[in-house]
Amino acid sequence: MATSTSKIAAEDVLAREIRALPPEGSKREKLTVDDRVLARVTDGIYRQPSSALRELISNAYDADATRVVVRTDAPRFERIVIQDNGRGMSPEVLAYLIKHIGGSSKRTQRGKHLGTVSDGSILQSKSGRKLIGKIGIGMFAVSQLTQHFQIITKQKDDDFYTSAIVVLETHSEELLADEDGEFKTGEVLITRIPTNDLNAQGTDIILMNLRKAAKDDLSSLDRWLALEEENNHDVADGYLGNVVAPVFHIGRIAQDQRSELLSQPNLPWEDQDLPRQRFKKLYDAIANEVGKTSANPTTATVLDNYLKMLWDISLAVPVDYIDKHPFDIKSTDGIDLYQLSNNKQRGQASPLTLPEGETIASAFGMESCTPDPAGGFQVIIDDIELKHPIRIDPVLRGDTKHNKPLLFVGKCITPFSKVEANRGGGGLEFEAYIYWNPIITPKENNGVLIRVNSASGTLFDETFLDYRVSELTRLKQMMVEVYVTKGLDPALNIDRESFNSSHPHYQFIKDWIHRAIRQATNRLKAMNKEVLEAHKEVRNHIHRTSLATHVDSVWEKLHGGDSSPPDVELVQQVDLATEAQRRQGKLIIEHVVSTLNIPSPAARARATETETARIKALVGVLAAYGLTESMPYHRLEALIRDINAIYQQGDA
Amino acid sequence: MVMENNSPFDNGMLDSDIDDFLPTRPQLAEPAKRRFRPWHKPRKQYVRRNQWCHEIQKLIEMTTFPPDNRVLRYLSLPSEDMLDIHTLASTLTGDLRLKYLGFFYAKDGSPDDQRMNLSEKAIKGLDKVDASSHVARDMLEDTGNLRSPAYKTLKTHAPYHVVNIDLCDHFAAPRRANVYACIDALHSIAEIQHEKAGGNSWLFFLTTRIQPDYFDVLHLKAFICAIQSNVDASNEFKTKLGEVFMQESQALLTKLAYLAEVLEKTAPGKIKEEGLTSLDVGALRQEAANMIDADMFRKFFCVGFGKWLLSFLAASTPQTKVEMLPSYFYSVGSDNQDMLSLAFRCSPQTQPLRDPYQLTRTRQQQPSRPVSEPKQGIQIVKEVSRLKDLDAFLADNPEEMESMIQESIQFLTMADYDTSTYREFVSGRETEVIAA
Repeated sequence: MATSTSKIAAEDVLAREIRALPPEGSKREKLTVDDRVLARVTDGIYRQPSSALRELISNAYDADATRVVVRTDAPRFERIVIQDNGRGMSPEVLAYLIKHIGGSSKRTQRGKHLGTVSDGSILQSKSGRKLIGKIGIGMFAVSQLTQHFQIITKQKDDDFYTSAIVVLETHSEELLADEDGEFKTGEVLITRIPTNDLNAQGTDIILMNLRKAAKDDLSSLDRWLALEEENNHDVADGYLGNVVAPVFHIGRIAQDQRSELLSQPNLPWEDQDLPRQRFKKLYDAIANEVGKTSANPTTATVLDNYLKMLWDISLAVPVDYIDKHPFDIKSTDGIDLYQLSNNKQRGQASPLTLPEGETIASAFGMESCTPDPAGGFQVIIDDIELKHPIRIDPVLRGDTKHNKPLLFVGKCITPFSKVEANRGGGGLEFEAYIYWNPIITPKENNGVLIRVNSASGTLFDETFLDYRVSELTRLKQMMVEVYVTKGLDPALNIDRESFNSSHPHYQFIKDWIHRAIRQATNRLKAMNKEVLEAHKEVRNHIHRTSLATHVDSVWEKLHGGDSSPPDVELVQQVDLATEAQRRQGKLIIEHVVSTLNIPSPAARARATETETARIKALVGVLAAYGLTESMPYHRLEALIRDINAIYQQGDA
Repeated sequence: MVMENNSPFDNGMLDSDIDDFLPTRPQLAEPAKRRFRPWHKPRKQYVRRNQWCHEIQKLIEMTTFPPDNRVLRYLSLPSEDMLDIHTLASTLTGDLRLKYLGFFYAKDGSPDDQRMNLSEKAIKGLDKVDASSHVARDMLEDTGNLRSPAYKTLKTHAPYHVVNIDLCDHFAAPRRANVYACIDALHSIAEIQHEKAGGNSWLFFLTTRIQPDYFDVLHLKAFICAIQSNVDASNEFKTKLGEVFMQESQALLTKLAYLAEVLEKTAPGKIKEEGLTSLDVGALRQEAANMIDADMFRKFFCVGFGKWLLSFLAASTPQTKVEMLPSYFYSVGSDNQDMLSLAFRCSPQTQPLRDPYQLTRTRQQQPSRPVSEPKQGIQIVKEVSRLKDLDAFLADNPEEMESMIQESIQFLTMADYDTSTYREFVSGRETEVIAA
């Protein structure tokens, strides 16, 4: 108790001192925590440099900002600035932060007193947003990037800005507590600057002296060096997944001469494009890569680390969707809609027709796409306005007998609120959709993404929360988003990048998603059965070679009896028409049958026929094993030539 | 044990091997008391208010801003107090907003850098300031390098209605090997403006110190040539120039040619070859410089630079007309009035359409107006003859002086200066720090 009283006094004293700073005055203060574990946590718990930006953007959201502007100084990354127009921090909030790292005033009664949370609910911001942050370590995520930063902040009606220059220290287990039982984790120097602009509000965070590792990571140094090595020594590594040059990148800075670019940026937008056009062009550029270099390339291969970081942040932070929210879809939008059942025993997805003019959201009262209470949230990084890079595309991709993509929607208000919170973890409510398309673009959107209070720390989970049933083919065709509107955040680990998998909320959601996937796959199977039988009917009239039959059986063994191998087409050269087919997901392979040494025309024709059938079968088998999807076409074609050469040698 | 002193793994690890993994962070130090700087003097506020803002206001009146993009685009070299941008923001009226790009170089995390962060936050809080405004932590000179991130930034934010190269140093300082100079940056700016400014006029302000014995020889030669070529081509120019230089134009050009010769001979690469000591170098330059009257050299710089700018911008298609606007000179620290504050308006000249096959209905042909170099040259010379001594002007106008003192106090207070000693600073009783 004694410590707590003296702590409260300490931060009140500090706040008073900040308010009383004379012109050009400053105040130096130790950053302390009263727990060794917190000292460790504030030194950094994140894995990616992007986590730091994501956390700072989330803080701005919690402070009711409607706009966050980030400048990264790409491709040098010498300094990063994050500016928001949120409520800013009063000297009292800042003093509290300095004296209570890891003890956020958010979600506490103290937060009400300090004005960081709503008067009505400690779980909401002043304007009524559901809070993302909770433990007050978000700010210290910056230690991932640097130990030296400046916070400049102001609240509306204040006639001054407060600046705090923070220098953090590296955590060491040798660290000893001082007499008060506190651990020093850094130092802060506070100054003030007067202003007569009473209306202004917001917080700037300026990260200086970025860690070398962070700069190297953000500037894709390892990748560029690997490519350079390959070029210099002509040592192309034949393994799958070897390093390829990014199609789009921010440019490369010279290591020794950081004011000069070694390679000029290659970006999918023009200088004159507006921030929102830029992100759209980035999204379209990724979508356009489908079928260009490989059947479905990953963003990680097409983009450099910097652009990939933008992409990842845009998935995580609570911005709008690139087109519209999936729940804003109507029956007339060219997608077949289904409703998921919450019935645990006999749940089945049922076809859904919305009344004219209604969206999924309006028909079901979906909470996850209600307008933002603060009036919207814009995130602009280096003049690129981020949007969720997710589109419920009405265009069916891939070799399929279906005629439309499918969207399964569900909403679940669980009975957890009826159980004591210390047993069940409190109420749990969520909404979700499963989008089905034979090819999900970009590839990374294949999986499950869980948003808690409209933010996410994870990317799409391609294991579908450890879905064990063998449905690989169909899982690869699904994109799932879950919007948790109440609960689950007690199960979110403090880095917000993973879940406590033993928490009842997490387990319930996992089970619900797995059931939802089964409902979707059952529906697909039923639909497939009809189309497949019709297809088989046609096929039965055609003579199947033993090779084709073999491919069928491989496919059936690996993907189940209700699916069929893709049609493979061989062309001498890919032209505009075949390229367009590739973009639709058709398997088109460039292959020239060599019959130069065969004199008789009849024998030539026979040889051509045999080889064509063999290559088609080979591609069919490779596809069954999932090898044709992300392997670049030129590599796939080389592999086919090399395997074919073995047969030709054998024949000879 | 042998292992202790001579481990088999001890094969040359250095203490510096961990350097790349150690975070860089400064020792926190209370900022030193801030001194007033030369650009805090009332005369600079006069320039901000009565040259820059005044001309910008006139430009705004003659520019058509599209209703959905009423943004004044301003390129600046702000000091850490951003006084130019504060003053400009305070004069903008109506719904016009300010979008600035600044180049400011300070060591990451230095007191100046941190102060700039604060100033920028305060500026960006203003409704009048566009959120995409930005101060790049680069040297303006780096924009001369087309491969630099600084150039990329310059290009991305372009075009500009106003380009303000506000140096506290020498625009034409002797060129250093492998380093880009201000003139290279100006080339980049002009090129980008040429490409992006459309038909809009833009203002160009240049603040620079000038000193004949600290002058780049190539600049000197180019300025001499720029003047000489007009003297040869136009009698009127020659006459007007004679009026400015008190009929001593030719003598002055000869002295300048001699100065160029000396500067060339005493260039760092040449000293050894010429067998000169550093004492000789100083003496030779001083001697050549002393031959030129300070007022003459000032006017020479203005005409030479103006003429060079005119030729440079008029040589392109479409041509850009350069007009010199009222400009000033003043002293920085000592009595030496070696600071110039020049203003130019650059107006791209679009040519009327022509129908070579006379397919369209005949209409009155608009006459084409090519830029006449001699004519514009004469305009520059006339303006140089009216160059205003700001020190004398403010000394003779105590009311104006008082008003500028009060305005300075107002802005400096907002920049968190202790202004209680400001009047002493103005009267010279407080020692000022000459710009580094």
